[in-house]
Amino acid sequence: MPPPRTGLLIIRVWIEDGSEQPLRAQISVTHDVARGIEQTVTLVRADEVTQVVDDWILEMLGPMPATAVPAPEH
Amino acid sequence: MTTDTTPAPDLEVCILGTFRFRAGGSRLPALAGGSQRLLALLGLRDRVLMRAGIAGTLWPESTEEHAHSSLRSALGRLSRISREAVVVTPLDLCLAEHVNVDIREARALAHRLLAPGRAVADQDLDAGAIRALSVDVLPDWYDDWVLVEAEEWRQLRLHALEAAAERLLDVGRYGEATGAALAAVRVEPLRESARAAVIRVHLAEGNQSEALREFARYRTLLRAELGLEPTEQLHRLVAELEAR
Repeated sequence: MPPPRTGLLIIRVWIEDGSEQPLRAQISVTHDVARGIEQTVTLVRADEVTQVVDDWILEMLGPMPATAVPAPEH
Repeated sequence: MTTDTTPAPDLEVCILGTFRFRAGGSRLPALAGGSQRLLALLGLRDRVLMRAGIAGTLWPESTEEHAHSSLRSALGRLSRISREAVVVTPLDLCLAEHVNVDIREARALAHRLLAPGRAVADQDLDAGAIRALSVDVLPDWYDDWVLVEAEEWRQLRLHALEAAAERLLDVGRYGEATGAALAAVRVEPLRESARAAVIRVHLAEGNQSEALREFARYRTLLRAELGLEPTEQLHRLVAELEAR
């Protein structure tokens, strides 16, 4: 059983009016707040955001991963 | 917490950046963790808080009884001088009136800068003001009660920095305007309005190559991070220069 830990995922969203894809979702993530924020990435597609959240939850259920958020594909 | 008549020292709770508790401008020895969190919460909320609410906020995973016990312990562990900073009643707690809180002053500064049509004092635009707007609230604290307030402050200061840049630009203080606009860019490098503020300052100062360079930096970052182009509005700012 993995040691108890608290993960954190913060999504900051803002809209860039006039952009071809106006959504900006900056995701800061950690699997253990004792380690501080491990990775921050900004995404522009809602489905990518959902995927990052899904992945993070699955990773929280498993052993502590080395990295968390995959780089967005372009 | 005390009632003697000796003049209270000049006390300050600082929660911009790391937590500090100061008296007469000097930093005091570190407080116990619970006491530190208690002062930080009182400073951040900046109003009278019920004991039950404080206990539940600071120790959300404890039973009510245990959370109250932790609060009593945090109060008991306050140093002699930090007790001067807290007004304690059987029902509630707050910071004493004479205690300064850096976030209180910084929030007031931000609101003055954002008030449309309102003139501001010189000191609201000086280097100290820009510094105050350049710091996050307790950046390494991940408690729920910190995160929400920290995010609110982050948004407020971001807008205030852009407003400060505009105000400085209006009075021809270009160097300081650049500093304020770049501080906004550091908060959120992908935010276009902050980049536009930097570019407008360069253009007003007649630094066309700097304006183009800033635009190019932003475009490169946007392409690399998001695979996008800057908006038409930003393009228009430098369109004439690009055409030359």
